[in-house]
Amino acid sequence: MNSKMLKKVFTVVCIISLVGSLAGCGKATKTTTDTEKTSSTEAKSTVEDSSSETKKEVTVTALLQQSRNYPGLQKMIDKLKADENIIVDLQIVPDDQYNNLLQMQINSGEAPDLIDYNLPAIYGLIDPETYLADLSDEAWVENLVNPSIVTHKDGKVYGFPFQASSGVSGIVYNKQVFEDNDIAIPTTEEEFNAVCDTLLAKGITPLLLPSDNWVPQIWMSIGEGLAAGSVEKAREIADALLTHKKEFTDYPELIKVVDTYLGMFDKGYFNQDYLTVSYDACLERLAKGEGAMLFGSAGILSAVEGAFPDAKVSLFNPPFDYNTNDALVSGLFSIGFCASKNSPKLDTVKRIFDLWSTPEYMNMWFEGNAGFPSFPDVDGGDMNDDVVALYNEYSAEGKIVGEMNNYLNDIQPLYKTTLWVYYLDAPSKGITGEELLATFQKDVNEYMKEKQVEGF
Amino acid sequence: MKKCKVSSVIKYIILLILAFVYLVPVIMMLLGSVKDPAQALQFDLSWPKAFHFENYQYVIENGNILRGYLNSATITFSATALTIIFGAFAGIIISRRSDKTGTALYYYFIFGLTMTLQTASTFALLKVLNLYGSRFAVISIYIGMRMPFTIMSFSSFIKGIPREIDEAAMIDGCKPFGMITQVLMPILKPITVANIVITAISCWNDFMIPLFYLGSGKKWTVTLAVYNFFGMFSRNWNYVFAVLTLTVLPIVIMFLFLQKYIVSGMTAGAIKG
Amino acid sequence: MHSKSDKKRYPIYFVIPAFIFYSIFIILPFGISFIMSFTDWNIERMYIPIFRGFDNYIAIFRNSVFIRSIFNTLLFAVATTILKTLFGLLLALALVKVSRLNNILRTIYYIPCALSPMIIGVIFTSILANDGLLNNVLSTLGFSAVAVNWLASYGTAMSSVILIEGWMWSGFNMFIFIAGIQAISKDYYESADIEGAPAWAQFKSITMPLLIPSFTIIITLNITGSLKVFDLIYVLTKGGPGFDTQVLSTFVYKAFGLGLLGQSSAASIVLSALVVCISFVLNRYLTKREVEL
Repeated sequence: MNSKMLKKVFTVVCIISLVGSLAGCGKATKTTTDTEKTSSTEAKSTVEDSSSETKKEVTVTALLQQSRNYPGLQKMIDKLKADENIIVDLQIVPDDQYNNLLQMQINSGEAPDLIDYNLPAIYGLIDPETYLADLSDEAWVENLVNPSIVTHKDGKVYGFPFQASSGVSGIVYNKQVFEDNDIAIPTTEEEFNAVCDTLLAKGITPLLLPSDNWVPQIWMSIGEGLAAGSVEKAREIADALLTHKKEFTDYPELIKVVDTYLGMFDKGYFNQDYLTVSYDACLERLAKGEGAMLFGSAGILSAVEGAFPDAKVSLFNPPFDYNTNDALVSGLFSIGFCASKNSPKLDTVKRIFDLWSTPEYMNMWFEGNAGFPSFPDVDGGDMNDDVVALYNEYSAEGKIVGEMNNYLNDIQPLYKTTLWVYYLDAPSKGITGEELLATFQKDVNEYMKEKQVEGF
Repeated sequence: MKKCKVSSVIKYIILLILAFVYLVPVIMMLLGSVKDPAQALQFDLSWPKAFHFENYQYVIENGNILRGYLNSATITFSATALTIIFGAFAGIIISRRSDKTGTALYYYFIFGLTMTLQTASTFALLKVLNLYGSRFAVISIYIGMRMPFTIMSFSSFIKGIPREIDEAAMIDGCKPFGMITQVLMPILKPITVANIVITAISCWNDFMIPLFYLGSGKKWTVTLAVYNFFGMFSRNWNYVFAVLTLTVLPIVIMFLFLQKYIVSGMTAGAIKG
Repeated sequence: MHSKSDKKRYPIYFVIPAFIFYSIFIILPFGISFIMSFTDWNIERMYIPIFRGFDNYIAIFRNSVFIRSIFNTLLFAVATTILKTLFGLLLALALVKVSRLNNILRTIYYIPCALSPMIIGVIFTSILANDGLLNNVLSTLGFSAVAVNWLASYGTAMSSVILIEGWMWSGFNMFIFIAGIQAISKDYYESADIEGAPAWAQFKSITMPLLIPSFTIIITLNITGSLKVFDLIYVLTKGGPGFDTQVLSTFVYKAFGLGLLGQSSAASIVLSALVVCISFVLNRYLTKREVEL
């Protein structure tokens, strides 16, 4: 009896799973060519459902980093579906797996239609001429506030940016804490140290640092930009490094930037638990005044204000000695999307970019995420007055420089895997700036050799 | 006698405390899933100030959880069923055949216990086979991965079952297929259930293989749905906890129903030769 | 004669489905990796690898992080295997009798291995944080001196990962041991009782020897499993602080992330070779002991 029943169950399971897997197989072998067919049949059924619907349903695939899944973007995608019957099939990928997955898909010819990445950083990760669609002739390109941000070396545009610049970067601080303790914004390194000592004495953590490895590197990326002092000089340094005419350790100014950062640990200015505390927790500490300062971009201001409406935060230019030219760093990159060159839906993707470039769509992106929009008539949200003033002041003097990472694009994949880890690891092991950069240079040499770059 | 009782009370007190410690992470997750965002962020065992069961509603509506469930269920069910069928047949045959082929096959399959997922090679292979982006690819990889353990456990369990049973079945006129499905499989029920549980858990919880080989977000499993709720600038831990709870719920329920078979199933290992 | 009827009764074609899936999706990729480990396979040149001999192997063995990974992998495997085996055995001995309470307790001890590594990562990083649950409890109990930042230094980070692995899998071992103990005939214990042998002596001379087969299974599974550990390290420490808790699997993944597929393959071949050697030696030793008994 029992065994008979078991037998029946067994047979049923057999049949179901075999059929299931065969069906899966049939679908599988044709996925690439079949998508259009399925989407058209889906379209038919929606047409039947609502006779008013006239536009044919199209689905495009998109690869998106987890941290870029902003509510604003989601609204833009929803609107596409409602107004245009364009469905964006999102694959939301954990940030630390993103590079691997993207490279794998692109190099094997399985690229998604839409690719999220920082522009122009993506040009260093994958070869735009081979894999990305040339968007130079799109109508919106003419309206870009800052076309240089998406223009590749060959003069062509391979990406759609949301921002004209990622914004001014520097030291984000809690205004309330500064006011309560009668602290003025420091203008020299000496003054900066004095401010930190005052804060320490009051039991406030002067500088906040989370364990997320993308954060400490901001110190160096901004610092090295300031140390270079001008766009020309920064380009010159990057050029020499990427062709191996020079090494990192040949530049005392770069070593000094790392040493300044490491020196903050020796003086005890950072929070003790920097090896484990999360970025979110640091923002909270900053907002609540448990910590006073955090290195980063102006984007942090809106993030803090969004989560903690009572917090008073602002930003000042780092007054360190290495900033000899008194420059200001503004990230010469933007969050954006690229289109895959061989995408069968390229027309739809281009139409999406067209739509997104209008204020109707792009305003959504900046809601609760204020910044510098890439198009003139888009509302970028409420920017912090100090930041705008700072930007205008330095831009009038022509003293704005990009982050060093912008110029060192080609070795970008190494940052996450080694360099950033070194930055977080060095303080507790007593490694100096020069040793750190020497170790990293070895990684660079090996990596560039594997990539068969001349000079390595 | 009295001494014995006291020691057994002490034993159970220790075991109960230990059980509590064991469950702390689970309790934290469950409580966190019904807290408000601020309280959830404290990561403690405090009782929720108010029960926000709507967290679950929000997560289900916004996280593609149901789609994820369907995908996970399809993949897990197919992979588990086929793993058990293929593994049981192979395990039985390999163990029963006392010739060189049997032994060679046994070691060939056991070798798989030493291997890790070859991410890039598998990717290249799926591309060549034109299977990339299909559920079938993911199911097949799971089947392949589970073979060593499944075959090992079935072949050691079957050693504890006398060959006379097989012979009797053949004399009764069974074909080999009938002998296995009608006579042996019922006897092998405990190890079958144990294997179902272990295989289903490992397929359901895995996230690397679907992430790398499924392609379209429409096919994503519920384990990957969690990423909808992580963001660098906005982490709503109450939602994260709710999603986490939802992802493990089906598998834990399945385990609770089947767990009584596991002990008898594992006797397999003990008999092993 | 016997084997002839064997062949008929146990036809080899029943093994074919298992053979095909396993060979295509596990062995073949492994074979590809093995061949590619001798080439300059790079993510940007996926389809045009060039032979370069043992260069990849030489490169990884010159890499101090790789050597450290080997050490960590071995440490993790040995420590967790001992921990899980002993703890699993203790739990099994305590819960071997069938009763309602015992059944509930067994389930509780087994539940951690049904949780996905991702969940474990999320929950334990918050428990072990500087201001996390563990340190809060410790300072409430007056032990604030021992409250440290658990995942921030090599010693505590590695110990935490090892303990968490133990937490996850001891219940699984417990089940195998319970099954093993239940399979031991009651007669042995009855006659020992008559002879008046104390409980400890019974355990030493009856339970332990007869459990050797269970030990073989558990140790083999645990060693092979923990040498390949990836998920847990990845979600808890990401190989950090620095590269301190990097193991072989995470090293493989890191090389993969840089697009150095040849090197990544070489590292994974080394890992497999290590697992093969260790489990072969162990299996030899353990089965020899079984035979001796």
